[in-house]
Amino acid sequence: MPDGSTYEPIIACCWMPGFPLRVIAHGGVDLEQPVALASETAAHPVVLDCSEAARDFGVEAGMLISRAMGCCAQLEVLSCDVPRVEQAAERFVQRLEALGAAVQPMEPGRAFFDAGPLLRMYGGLPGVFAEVLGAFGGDTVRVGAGPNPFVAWVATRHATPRGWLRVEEGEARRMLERMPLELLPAGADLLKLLHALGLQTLGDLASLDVHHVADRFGAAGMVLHALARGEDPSKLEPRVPMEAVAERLVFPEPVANELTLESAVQMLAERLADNPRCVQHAPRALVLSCVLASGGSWQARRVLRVPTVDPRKLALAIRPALGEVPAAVERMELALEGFTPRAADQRTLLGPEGDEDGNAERVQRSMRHVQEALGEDSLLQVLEVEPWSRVPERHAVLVPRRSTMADPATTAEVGRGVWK
Amino acid sequence: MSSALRRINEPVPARVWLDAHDRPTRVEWRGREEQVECVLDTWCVDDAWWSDHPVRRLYHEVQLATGVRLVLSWDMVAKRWLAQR
Repeated sequence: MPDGSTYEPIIACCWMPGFPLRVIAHGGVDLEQPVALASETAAHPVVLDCSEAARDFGVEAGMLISRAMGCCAQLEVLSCDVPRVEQAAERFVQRLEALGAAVQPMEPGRAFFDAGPLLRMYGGLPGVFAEVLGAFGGDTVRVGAGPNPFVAWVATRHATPRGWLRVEEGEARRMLERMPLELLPAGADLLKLLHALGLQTLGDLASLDVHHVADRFGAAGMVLHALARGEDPSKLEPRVPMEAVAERLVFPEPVANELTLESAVQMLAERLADNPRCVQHAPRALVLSCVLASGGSWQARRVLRVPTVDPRKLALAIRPALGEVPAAVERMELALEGFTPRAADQRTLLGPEGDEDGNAERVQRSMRHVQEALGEDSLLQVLEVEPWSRVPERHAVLVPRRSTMADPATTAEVGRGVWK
Repeated sequence: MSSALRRINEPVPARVWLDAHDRPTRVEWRGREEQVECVLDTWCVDDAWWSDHPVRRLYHEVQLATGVRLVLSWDMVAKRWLAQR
């Protein structure tokens, strides 16, 4: 392995252009024809992505669907099925991870990884990229590599479909010189301003004095100036690959009845609780995915307040979401995410001695949680009524503890008035 | 009393054994028989005689051999022993 002190990473980017559109159109729609992917917003759906044929008619991302239809009468509009795209994006990343890469996922269909550790495994960079391209079969994936993520991304954009392009560190600035400013991760307003100042290419921006850029655009300008010079200080933050902990259920016929769905969720939660991962770890979130009889899919994610492997609590957490399922369900999947060691459950209510403020806040927070979970009247407090009485049961009573309850000394006076 | 309030430390029926001077010596409370070590205090209450639920009790505050303190009372209306903390 290379020495850690001299190791220079080879940042690689794997990209499938128009990923969501390809996923939704897969197998049923010809992307050589004018096709647009519409957002799920019911009121005013907009174009998320479109085919090249649609672009030829003037359709572009961000355009209202109604306007896009005006541009191209034969435009076929597909509704974006977000859960389906997310599942496909996960498979995209998993394919890279299966090659041994530590992957940092970006938006669906794009991910970065360090190709350096894979060089010996696959006999050099061409071997690595051949494996990557081979992993995606006939899909039009492009791969690029560079000394940092920005250069790798630009290289990827200029790679041919099912091809790869590497830019060496010394070549980065020269390659970027003629590239348009639109490659920079800057907002439309800033790009407009840069154009208004007569800057057209990354080379134009890179040739400016960095102090002048800092004076005019501040810290954001300095970052863009560095990127234009081919210097990207950001580091990869690969995710930790985890085997999915999920259970599936296929209904013999579509189910819309909420009680049946609740029973199914309960059954899946019980199966999940038996998973070996749940012996020492507990999930922080659970995701319910349903394939609908109407053809689409639906997904709900719920974050648990406290990580747990109790199947009853897991089912209880996701159950309210069942009311939002829009159609009869053909298949159901319940997955656990964000595992944390179960030792973390063993917390104490009170912290170290001397931390009275912190302890009081923790107690207050715990009481609010109890009331939130079980209702306002679930928490009672002892209220002294007649502490002087010779009849012991008159000394105090239990009263519901309201979250807005005033000082106990004051309420004791009130309490005396209502006793008997 | 408002329905939001809940009584606390209500007396529960108990069996009490007395000595020759009518002082408690043993008590069966919560299913267990305990020895009374000493009687700490004795008092009488005659209250709410004007209501439908008059309170006429003879109280003994006792310490059990286990160290627990109990208040035993002879209910002169219901003619039974009661115990509470």
